[in-house]
Amino acid sequence: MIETSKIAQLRRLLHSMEESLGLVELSSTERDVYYAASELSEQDRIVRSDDLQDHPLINGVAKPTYFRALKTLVKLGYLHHAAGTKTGKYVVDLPSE
Amino acid sequence: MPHFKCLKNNLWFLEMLAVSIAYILAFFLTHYLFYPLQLKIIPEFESLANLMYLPHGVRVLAAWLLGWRSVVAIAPGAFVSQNLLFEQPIWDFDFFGVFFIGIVVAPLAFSLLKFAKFDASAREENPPCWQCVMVVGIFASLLNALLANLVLGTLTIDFLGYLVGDVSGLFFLVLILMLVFRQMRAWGY
Repeated sequence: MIETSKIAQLRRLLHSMEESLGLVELSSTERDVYYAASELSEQDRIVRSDDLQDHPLINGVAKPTYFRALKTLVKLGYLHHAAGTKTGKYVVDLPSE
Repeated sequence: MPHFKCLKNNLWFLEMLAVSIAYILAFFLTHYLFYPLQLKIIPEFESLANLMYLPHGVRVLAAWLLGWRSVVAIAPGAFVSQNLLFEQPIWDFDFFGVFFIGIVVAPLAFSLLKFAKFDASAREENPPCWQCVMVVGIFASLLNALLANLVLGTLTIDFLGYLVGDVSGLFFLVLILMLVFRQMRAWGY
């Protein structure tokens, strides 16, 4: 394929269009979890769920809501499980806007 | 570093393959689906211009991502597509005029606008802005129509037709890609 970064750039562009057209399917909690994960992934590619829960954006979120948001983000392709793990560690798929 | 060099050469080749195939697909959809539909829906529009010209979207997106490298990437696709459309021999002035203008106009638009301090190209430091790409696409279309009119002497109705076709082609291509990527996400890719 073409360089991965080119595909990522194209996805970011299309995502910006989705946002403009109001087609982004994330709830506010899902968006917060995603933004927090994006921020943490700038320090380390693999984001630990424990670190994510300590993030200021997630602090007030109830645990079941947080885990539901994580599950949705994985299902929609915004996050995926880090290689060799089934839970607890995630990799961000779409760069943050 | 011979292996690295080999990989880099392959990337150029794969870029060319992907962009050219996308261009040919867009061309086929435009000329064998949308254009016949256009003739049925608005037969009174007596112009050769397609009112939804998807290949313009391919060349603008390719130039947005690859810059001047898109000229090389798109050239085989544009050449093959044009061969299917035109009956003129390939050394014909009109043939090469359309071909050359078509492959150069999008990176030229990005470069001219960048020179005017409007850099919309894909860079890590530039936040993604599809509206900015549309603006460059409109400018590229104006350049394309202007050059086609100047070099090939096309009619004014064609000028407007090209403009409408290019802009709607770019918009709908981005829209189609957005829906495809959304569906892929829903399927877990």
